[in-house]
Amino acid sequence: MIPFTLTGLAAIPSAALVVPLLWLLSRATLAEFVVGDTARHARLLASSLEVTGFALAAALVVGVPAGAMLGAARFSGRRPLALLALGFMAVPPHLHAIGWSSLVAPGGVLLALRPVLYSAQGAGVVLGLALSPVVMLLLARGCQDVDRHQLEAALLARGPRGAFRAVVIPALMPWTVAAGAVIVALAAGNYGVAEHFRVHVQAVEVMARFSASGDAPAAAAAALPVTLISALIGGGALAWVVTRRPGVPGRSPDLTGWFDGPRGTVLVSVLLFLAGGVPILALLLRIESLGTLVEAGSILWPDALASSRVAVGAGLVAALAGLIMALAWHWGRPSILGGLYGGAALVGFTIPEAVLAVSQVSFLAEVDGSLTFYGKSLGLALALGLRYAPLAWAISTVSCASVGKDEEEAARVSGCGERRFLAGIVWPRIRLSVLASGFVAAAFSLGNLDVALLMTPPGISPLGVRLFNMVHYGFDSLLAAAILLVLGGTVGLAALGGWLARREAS
Amino acid sequence: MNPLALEVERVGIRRDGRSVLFDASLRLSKGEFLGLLGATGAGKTTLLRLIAGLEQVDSGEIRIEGVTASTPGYCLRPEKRRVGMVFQGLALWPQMTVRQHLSFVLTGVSGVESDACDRWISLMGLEGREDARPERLSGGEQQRLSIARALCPSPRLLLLDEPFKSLDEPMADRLGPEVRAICREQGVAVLFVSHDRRRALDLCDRLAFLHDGCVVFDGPELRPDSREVHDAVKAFFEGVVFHAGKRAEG
Repeated sequence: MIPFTLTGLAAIPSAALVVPLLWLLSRATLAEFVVGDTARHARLLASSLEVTGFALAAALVVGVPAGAMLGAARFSGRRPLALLALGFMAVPPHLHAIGWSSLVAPGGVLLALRPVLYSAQGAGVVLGLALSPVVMLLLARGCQDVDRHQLEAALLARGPRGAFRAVVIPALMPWTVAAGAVIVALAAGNYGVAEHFRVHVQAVEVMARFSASGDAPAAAAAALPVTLISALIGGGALAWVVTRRPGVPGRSPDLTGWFDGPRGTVLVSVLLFLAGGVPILALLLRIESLGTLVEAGSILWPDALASSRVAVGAGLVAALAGLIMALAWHWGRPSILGGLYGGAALVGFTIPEAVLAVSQVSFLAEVDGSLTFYGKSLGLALALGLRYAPLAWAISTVSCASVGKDEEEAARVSGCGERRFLAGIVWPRIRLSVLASGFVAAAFSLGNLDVALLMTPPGISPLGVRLFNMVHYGFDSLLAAAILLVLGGTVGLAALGGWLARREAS
Repeated sequence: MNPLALEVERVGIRRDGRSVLFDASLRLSKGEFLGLLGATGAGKTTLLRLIAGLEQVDSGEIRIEGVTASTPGYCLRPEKRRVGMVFQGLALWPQMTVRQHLSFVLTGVSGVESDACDRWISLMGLEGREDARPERLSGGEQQRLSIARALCPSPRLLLLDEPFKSLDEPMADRLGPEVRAICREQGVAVLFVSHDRRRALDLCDRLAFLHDGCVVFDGPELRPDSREVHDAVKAFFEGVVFHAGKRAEG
């Protein structure tokens, strides 16, 4: 009975993700997909791909070595640095962008580099650096899949190079591909960083068109090419990863002997400085006195409280939806429906955020004529929770896959029905991942721009939106202090969450 | 009351178009210790999985204490069979301590005393390791925990799939008779799958031999020099000298 119930429950978030998109597609006429100004749309697509490509390259160049060292090298400060990476991951990319741009704003220390930063390449690199902690943390987890005994056997037989080729690369490859897919999906649909650096990409076009005309099908159709590319690359890679069986995390072997000790500490610190330290330092340079921080805090406090409430709600929605979909994917009946829900989650994750937000908002306006949810905390929390439910699903489903078939069989033979198996064996194993998925969703929701911009009426500004808009009036000490407080709060909360999760795990 | 703990009647299963088991039949009385031998790939583990209800039969019937448990199109759920199983890979739950493993399988089992957990910990020599998780246990301790987990809910039938594989000889020599004594005391029938000829001959009341998915020998006394014995059995026991059906020297 429980497998069928799970499948039934999982239909709710899956439908909530896919139905608005299908509705939007059904409303669009063929003419809207045939774009008039082909050259202009080609330029938009090229910009989107350029930003995505540079973001992917920057995220991998910084994230892979830092992640491998965080996962497998032995150096002092490794755990605090890993927690800092977790904190940086939670900071919304457009706040990174604001930090970087303060360096090249009038009065900034790198003013001469302004044209470099305000370009597709510059925006891509900043976006990639902001997203690189995702790569670091996935790679660090991947290192735990490298089997110590297999590694030692390969070292004896073929030496370090052979061992690296035969054991390390196969273990890390799914995690690298997953990280790349996540970066492609996030970067291709990113609105905040591109808009901040005045790079016109397709996500910006969607938001601009929808804001100007309210014509959702036409707005979404403008982003069709990048949507397809993101869905094909991101979705294909993620589907490949989640259908593979990850190993049960073990103790990471020491893969990077040369980087043990102070060398490792220095190198990881430098990479983390690029990934999140630069914007913080840049904003610090702008602050005139400590009093400014206190003043900024008192101004932001009410907004921060309201936004935190929404973020916590979104985290809960995402974690619950992700958990139910992951359980249905692994243990639901009929299993074909579990697979379909997984597909829905992948679609939801890889579709550009702006397109998903437009579809949700316009669908909600259609079915909810009295605007019960529009502009309300609950409506925003539900929309953001659904936005990040696929991410939560990915985290929970990888964790569910670590419960071996033989462990399930041992439970069944020992007299456990489905309910006891899920409650006694699966839940203790995945609860930290579910907690983490909720936390990640909450952290992303806190700084979300696209959904927040479209789901709130004029006059109400969630924290991320308010800071983003304030930058248009130029940099001053108060703004820098306000953004720094949000950055510090997010990093601190994320690090605290990671520390608590680690404490419980140990 | 049916004196037979297990009846396997002409059971067959196919995988990828190939017969893994074909017309396999076995009977096991209560309290009996049956050794199931055979070369790698003979179908021993598959037969255990069919008896446990982890796979469904394509033909034949399996009855446990006279009640039908598997036929083609019907499979009594594993948790309803009251069968204990020690898996080849042990299949311990990494997040649980020794005590949690036992209390987890004992929860909801009627007729089990409240101190059953402590009794099994003591019986299996796991005192002092109650709060350790599997990764902190030695290979022998893991094996004993796996056996305790299978035995503590008082199953009607115990399936042992290479249970002593990761133990050293002295430990296996000590644990084997202990498990047999416990099972005999509790009247639990045991199906013991092994490659280890010596241990099977020492421990088991009766031996069965599986070759290419068929049971080619089943009896209390094995005489590999007899003309009726299948060549595969002769090859398997080559080098072992028997007196009156029991091993004399290896």
